[in-house]
This record gives sequence, C-alpha cells and structure tokens, in this order.
Amino acid sequence: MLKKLEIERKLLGTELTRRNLLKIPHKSELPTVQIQVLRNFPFEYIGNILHPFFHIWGKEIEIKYSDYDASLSQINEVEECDLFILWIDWRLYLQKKRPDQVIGWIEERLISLRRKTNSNILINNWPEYIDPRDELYLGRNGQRTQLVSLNHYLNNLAEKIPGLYIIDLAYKIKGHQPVLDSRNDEISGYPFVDSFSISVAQFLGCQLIPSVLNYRIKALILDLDNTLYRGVLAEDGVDGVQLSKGHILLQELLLELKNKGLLLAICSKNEEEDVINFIQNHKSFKLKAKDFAVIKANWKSKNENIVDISRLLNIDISSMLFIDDNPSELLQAHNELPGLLLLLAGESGELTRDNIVNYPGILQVYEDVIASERTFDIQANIQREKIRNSANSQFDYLSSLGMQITFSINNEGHAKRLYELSQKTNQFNLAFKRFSEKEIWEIFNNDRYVVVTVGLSDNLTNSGIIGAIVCHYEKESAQLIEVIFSCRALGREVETISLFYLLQYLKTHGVHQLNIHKVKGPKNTPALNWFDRVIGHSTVLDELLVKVEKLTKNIPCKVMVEEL
Amino acid sequence: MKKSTAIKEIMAELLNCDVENAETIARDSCSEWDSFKHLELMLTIEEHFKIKFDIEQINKAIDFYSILELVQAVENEA
Repeated sequence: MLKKLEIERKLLGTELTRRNLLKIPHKSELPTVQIQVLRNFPFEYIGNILHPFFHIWGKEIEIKYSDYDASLSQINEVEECDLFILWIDWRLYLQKKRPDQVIGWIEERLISLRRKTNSNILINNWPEYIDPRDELYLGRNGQRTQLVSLNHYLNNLAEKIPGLYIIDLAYKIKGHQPVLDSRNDEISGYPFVDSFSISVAQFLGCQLIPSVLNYRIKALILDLDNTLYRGVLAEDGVDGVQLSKGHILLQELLLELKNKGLLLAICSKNEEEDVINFIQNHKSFKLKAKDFAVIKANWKSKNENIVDISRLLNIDISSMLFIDDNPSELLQAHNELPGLLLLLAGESGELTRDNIVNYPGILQVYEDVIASERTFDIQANIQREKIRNSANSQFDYLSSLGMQITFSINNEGHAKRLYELSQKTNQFNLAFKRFSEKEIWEIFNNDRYVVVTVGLSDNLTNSGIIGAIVCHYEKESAQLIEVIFSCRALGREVETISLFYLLQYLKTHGVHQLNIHKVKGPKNTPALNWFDRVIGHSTVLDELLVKVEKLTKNIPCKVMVEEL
Repeated sequence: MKKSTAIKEIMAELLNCDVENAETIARDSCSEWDSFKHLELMLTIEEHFKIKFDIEQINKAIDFYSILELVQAVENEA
C-alpha cells in the first residue's frame, strides 16, 4: 500500500520519465475506459504512457486508433466508446486555409460525430508558439497569429457543441520551451519533445479525462501538523509552527478549491479549541475556520473521525481524499476504510500542492454553479440537525426553518446545474440516469419535455438549485424520466412538494396518466423508498394529486414560481 | 550500470524481448520494432543517457550494436 502511495506521488509530480512510465504494467483487472482516437498525426507517444495515470483513479485504458486521415472521414464509421479524442496537427490545414475556414470544416465533422454519439469528445488546440522561426514574424505574416485565431475559434466551438472539450496544448506549453522537436517531426510527423508528451499524458490521464468522465472528488480531509504547516501544534505552540512559502501556496490552492465548490474538512489529533484559535489568529494562515465544512480535532482515531465527517457531509468515502503526512495513518485508513482515497503529504507543502492539482477528480471542466453556497450549506445542515434533535415534532422543526421553495419551468439557464445534479447525485435519483450534455441540450430544445428545477432557501442559508424533475408528455400521457435531489436538501419533503407542483402543471396541460420510470442504483435507496411512500402503484394523475396533496398540505413553507 | 546493459534493458522493455536476446534482434526482423517504437526507443535512450541524437543517428540505429556505437559517439562528442 505504501509503495502504491509512493508511486502515485511520483505520478502526480513533475519528475516523470518515459522509461519509468512504460515499466508500469497494465492492470487488466481494472474497469476499462475505451477511447477512440481519430487523428491525422501520431497519438501513440502519449497514448502509450497513459495507463499509469488511469490506475490512480482505478481504471485501465484501451485505445482504438484510426488511420492517419487528414479528412477525418472515419468519423462516419465510429463505434460506441466512452470517449473520443480528435488529435489533429492543425498546421496541415493552416498551410492551405484561413483559421475560420479550418474551423468551419472541423465544425461540420464535429456536429456529425455529435449526432452519432452521446460520449464526450476531446479535441486538441495547438501551441501558439513552437517554432523559433516565429520570432522573425509579426502580425499577419506569422503562423502564430493564425494559431491564436484558430485556438480562439476552437474555444467558441467548445461552447457551442455540448460535450466537446479542448485539450489545451496552447496552455500546456508553459514551462516547456522548446516544445518543438524537429527530428521527431521529420521522422514521424510528431513535432513535440518527449518531456512535453509526458506532461500532456499526465494532464490527460490525471486531470482532463477523469473530469470529463465525471470522476469527482467532493471533499478533501486534511491533517494539520506537517501537512498544512511544518511542526506539531501541541508541541511547538502557535508561534513555533512554520508556514513555508510552499505551505502558503498549498493553502491558497485549498482556498481556491473551496471557493470552486470542493468541501474541506480537518481531521487532526489536537484539541479543537487550540486548532480553532490557531487557525483564526495566525496571521499567515490563509484558511479560516469558516472555510472548513467540518473540523474534527480531537484524540479519537482518525478513521472514526473520517466516518463522522463522511456522515456530516453526506458524502461517500470513495469521493473523499484524505491527505496526511503520516504513512501509518494512511495505512490504517486504507485497512479500515476501503475506498477512501489517500495522498501522502510532502514536507514542503509545494509537493502536496502539485499532487492535489494533478489528482484525478480535482480539475473542473465547467464552473460549479452553486460552489459558493456549498460549504455554508453543509455548515447549515449541521445546525439543522441540532434544531431537528431539539424540536418537538417534524412540523415544529420545518416551521422553525422558514423554508422557501422556488420552482422554474424549462429554464435553460439551469441546464448546467441539471447536468451537474444528474452526474453527481447518487442517493436521490429515481431513474439513476446520467444525462449527457447532449441529452440535456435535447431535453431543453424539445417542447414535449418539462423540466422543473427547484431552488431552496431557509433562515440559515440559500442552497441554490437543489433538485430537478424531468418529464416527457404527449397528449394525455406523461412519463416521469427522472427525479433528482441533492442529498443536502433531503429530509425536508422538498421533493414531495416539487412532485405536487409538477402534477398540477401536468393536469393543466391535459395529462391524465403518469408513468414513472425508476431504476435501482448502487446507492439510491432514499429515492426508491420515497417512491414507495409517495407514489406507490398509482398512475392515474388525479389519484396521485390527491395522495401527494395530503402529504404536502401541512408542510410549512413558502412556494414561489419563477417566471421566465 | 554498464552502457551495454542499460541499452539491452531498455530494448527488452520496449521491444518486449528478453534482455539476453536484445543483442540478437534487429529493426528489420523484429515485428515489435515499428517506426513508432523506433522513435520511442531512441527517445528513451536519450532520456536515460541524457544525450541527444540527430536525425541521421536516429535512422542509423538498427540493432543493439549500432545503438551502443551511437551512444558512445554522442557521449564522446560532448
């Protein structure tokens, strides 16, 4: 186990060599991600060393290569797979056409591929400066200007075509000058130096591919001593511990991740009061107590605290990364909490920072639309739990919250949030559908679908959009496609009130019959139990309305409908 | 580690053969040794010895002995 952690730390670091990567054997026992590469120049220099990075997130990779084909005609014959990569040497086209013409041509190809598959598509852009001769040109004479335009148009295309992501070679060249290897270019038509290929493989295998395949880390559990700073708080005291430049960079990264929606928790063997005083009063400490969704500082075993953190955050341990400098703590966590992700913290802070940046499931491929509310909401949920425990009844509890529920119908502005909910939710998704971006786009562009998105706020916090119901209807009959609610919102009957709202909407649109699709997933028991309690075998809309109205009429809340 | 041993080990790793057999295989008779593997082999040897071949040298590498000779030549130039 410790050897595995050491290997992972190297894989996430910067000192990688092709030889060491090639030495790592494939692991056929792991689930395989199937990728098709449609290309006009070699991808093997990257594809051949991707598997070690996939192993970190528990996957193996299988790549199917197209022939080298400048026309990308093989788009017409693709087979279903988990991911497509379009690997393109753009120089071949820019010799003959303007960037806008090249992009017009690739757009047609991409739309054709988009029609054939729901899988995500990656496409590379091109380093804007790889050729030293570019120094001789300015403005429109230079290839650089063409490449800047091409990359710009390509970014616009990624905004337009759902499920299309850029492999940002233009950004990856940072720190890799020179990136051009003219020998490679002449021998095999592959223009990049090997260190750049390794860095792109690490980016694809650790960051981009896991993220576009929705592998996500939802929370970081952080040790304190010798992880967030150098020293031992209980022994060295507040003034004795040191924050190196690396530790400050690490803390800045953690703060950024928290602002982007990742939850932070502390798990430390210390006195809680000492920890909070230290964090709040240390002048160089970037993170403050409010930045942590949960602080567990006590003398219990770390495993016990991690289980508690998992319960309080309502996040499965397989979506949490535990970072500690002490290998024996990590070993114990591995033995007792299988599935928990582990990272050995480095001494400098900087190494830990680099490892976290590269860790699979950290990169966000799109903005988390409720990021700013998430930590507050978790803290508020802990408060709610206290209120519930001291309330005389569920009615008293809900009354004291002052809930306000806001419904929106077919609000396209909520499409990203619907996608996010569909991909992230594990406990309350009735049909266990994982909508692709393309499917969401199609739903919002079809009049026969109704999407109810549900916003929730109360006296403690505004939770943002916490749920959605997707339904398809045709004349008198409707099909409930999916009911999804964030686990942060459960226990307040918001899902039942939302169903009641949808049923009323369907009735006014002439629907009499409602068929409901439910699927048992690995963790969606709360949704299935709700189904049995609230819906049962009813399919006649009027019967359902009466039943659901009875369940919701005494729930104290204010309901609003957002007009578009 | 001796240069010859390191080269044999790299050849064995990349061309999927035993270290003992590395001396006997050649580019034109080994099915694993295609143009992609050839460049990957030369890049890995460059990485290991921290040297740089030119195109002519990369093309001249056809078996263990020619690679050993090339590594020595480049190291001597430096």
